[in-house]
Amino acid sequence: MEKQGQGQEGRRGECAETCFDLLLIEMIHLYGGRPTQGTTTTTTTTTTTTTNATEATPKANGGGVQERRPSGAQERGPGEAGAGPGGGPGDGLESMGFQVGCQLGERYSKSRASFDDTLDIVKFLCKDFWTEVFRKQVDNLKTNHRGVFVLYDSKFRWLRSASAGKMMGDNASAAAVGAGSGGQPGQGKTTVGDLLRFPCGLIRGVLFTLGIKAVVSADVASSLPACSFTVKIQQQAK
Amino acid sequence: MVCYNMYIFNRDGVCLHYQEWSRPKHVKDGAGTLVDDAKMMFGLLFSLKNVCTAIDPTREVKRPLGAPTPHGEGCSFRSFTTDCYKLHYLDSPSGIKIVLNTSTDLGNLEKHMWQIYSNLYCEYVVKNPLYTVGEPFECEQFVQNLNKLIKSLG
Amino acid sequence: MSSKGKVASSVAGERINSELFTLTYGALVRHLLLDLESPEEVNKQLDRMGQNIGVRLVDDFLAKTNTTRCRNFKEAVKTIADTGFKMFLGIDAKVTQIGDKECKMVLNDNPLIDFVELPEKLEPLSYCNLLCGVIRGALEQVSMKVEVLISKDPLKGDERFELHMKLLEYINEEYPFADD
Repeated sequence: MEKQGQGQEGRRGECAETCFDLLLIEMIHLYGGRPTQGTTTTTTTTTTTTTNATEATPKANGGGVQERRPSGAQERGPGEAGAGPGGGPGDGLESMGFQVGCQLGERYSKSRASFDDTLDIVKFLCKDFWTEVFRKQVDNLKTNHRGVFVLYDSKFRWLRSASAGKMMGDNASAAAVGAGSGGQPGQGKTTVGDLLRFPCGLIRGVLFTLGIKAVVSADVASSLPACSFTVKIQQQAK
Repeated sequence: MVCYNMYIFNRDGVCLHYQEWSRPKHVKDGAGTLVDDAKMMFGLLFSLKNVCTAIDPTREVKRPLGAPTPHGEGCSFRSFTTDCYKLHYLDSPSGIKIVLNTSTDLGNLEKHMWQIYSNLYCEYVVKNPLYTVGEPFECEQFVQNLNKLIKSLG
Repeated sequence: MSSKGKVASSVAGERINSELFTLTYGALVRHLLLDLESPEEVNKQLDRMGQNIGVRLVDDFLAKTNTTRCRNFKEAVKTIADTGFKMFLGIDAKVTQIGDKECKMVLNDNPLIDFVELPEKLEPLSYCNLLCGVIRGALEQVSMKVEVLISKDPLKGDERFELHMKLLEYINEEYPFADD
């Protein structure tokens, strides 16, 4: 359905940020607000974006992970492969994010020289990509030097208007609402975790395009709009 | 100067938000409950607008008093002052109605009312992904910024 | 580009590269096609989502343009064409036909369909149906019930993107509570 970028990016129009914000809100309302995986998850604000099922069977479809430019739209990434049977409904957001991440990663990295190593790619993510999409750099990058990176953003752009509605202040809120919505898929309340599924997928998509296979999760343990993304690298870039 | 309380309604009469800074006369001694209080307030706004429209000396109104008017038509009012308090009012074309009750010494707050609508309601409620349109809200960011704005009046 | 257009984009608030918006919309449509049974269902879903967006968008529009009144269909249509499209999508729109209850509007560009090509089997898909919903939802908030259709679509071989709008009725403001 989609033409890939080659020679297409000449036109760099602008639109109001509101357009994107409101589109994302609708996507979140459509695909979020449902309990993930049907498991009795106790995490309230943490979203892990790649399903267990899919991580257990990496690359069942045999695609090359090292492939430097998977054509975003056609690529069935690890997350997407499982979005059908195994994945919970909330995975829709993650996989849409993944798709967009693949496409953007390709576009934004095209103009620059190849990357030296994984750290180089993560830095690109935190600076160039973050600035392009979230209007500022990541505030803090931590790593354990064994493939886990934590990206902390004190004012995450896509959370700037978010604040809990009726359920104020306590951590229990999200869980309580999530649990309450159990019976009616699609009717549940949106939780903070839902807001971060799309960006998690986005980040995973960018990394995937640049040759890194990773699991990305997000956390807003402190207060909005601060949040952190944890990137666990599963397969390094060559 | 004192700000007493604020109501935000949508066109369906749902009280989306109520906030109180000072209410010397408790709601128990008035309408009884907050729900009835809000309903009374909405009724007042609605009827007052209709009456204002009916007696408008500048434009012809073809409807009898009380007949439904299309939204956006008719005369909206911006404030009224009683012996005891002043009511500031903003009625957006989309039917969002914001009411702020203050002491009578406050001047024209139209600009501030518009700020509450455009900078606070639109930014922190309408664009809040956790907000469901048409439901009452208690958005923290909205409340914080509203309190700031109210403080700046004094 | 009209000076009015420039004014519109200057009050429009933060601008972003429309690529992110376009690609995200593409991902959504693609996902809906996988999730729902038929392209017709996707059209409906896009329309519904658009309507919800319109309901929120209208407040943003009113706030940013300092609009305190919306009088009638004709005026609303002109505002959408002159200011709305420029402000939100960064494109120019022109009203080509207008009456009290009906109008046609041509967009000189449409960022939603950048990078998009529809395969034949998706012929029934109205890719930009979201737009119809947005306009309908927004106008409904300012008391006009309208019907919006895509009358010409470059994805279906037409040269321009054209919207056809029809006013169904003005909504009256009625007292929402039963008298008690």
